[in-house]
Amino acid sequence: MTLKNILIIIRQAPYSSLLPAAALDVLLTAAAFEQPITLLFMGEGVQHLLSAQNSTGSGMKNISKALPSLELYEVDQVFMEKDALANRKLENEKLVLQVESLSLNQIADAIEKADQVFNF
Amino acid sequence: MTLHLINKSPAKSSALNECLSVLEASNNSSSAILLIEDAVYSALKHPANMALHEKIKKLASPCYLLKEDLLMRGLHAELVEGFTIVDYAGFVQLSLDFKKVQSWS
Repeated sequence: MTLKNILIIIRQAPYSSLLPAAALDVLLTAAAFEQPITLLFMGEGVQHLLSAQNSTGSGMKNISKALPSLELYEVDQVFMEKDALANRKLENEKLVLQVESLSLNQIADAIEKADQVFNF
Repeated sequence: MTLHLINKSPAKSSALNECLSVLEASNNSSSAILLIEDAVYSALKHPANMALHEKIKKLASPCYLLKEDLLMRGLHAELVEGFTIVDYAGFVQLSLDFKKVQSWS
């Protein structure tokens, strides 16, 4: 099987729509086929990393709970947009996963290098 | 070599703004933006669109508008300069010209 470098970008805030959960479905499907995957949280999407989230009773899926186990699926390329947390005064919040930051320039590079980009 | 597709009104979505921020920071100008559906409202001379238009003016990459979606919405007179209008055939040609197409939802 041909391997494709897949970049998944999550830009929507948690609980704003079904898109972030769909992004996770795409990610896990691609991971099942052993495709090299990069996951990037950008803009409001960085809020998925906040560990204080609690969706109990809302009926909505808290995708942050799945993030620490992505390594089990060999998804270890997880990044966030640099300054996106700081711009929201969230830089001191506890995160579900320690991820590296990418500048906008590095994000532009990642988009160019990927064979396929899924932008949610 | 990416064609960036945007289909949301700038009043509802930050997609165009975020896409422009990435392209501004990029080292290469071989990408392009195509605005379709409600994203064609981004070309209106509305004060709320001014910041976007400034970014588009400075951008090395071209920004296209889909003609059919403009006409459907009755937009043709009050568009700012700096956009290139393409029809559906042009849309198909663009998607062939670029290595990949990505939609900003």
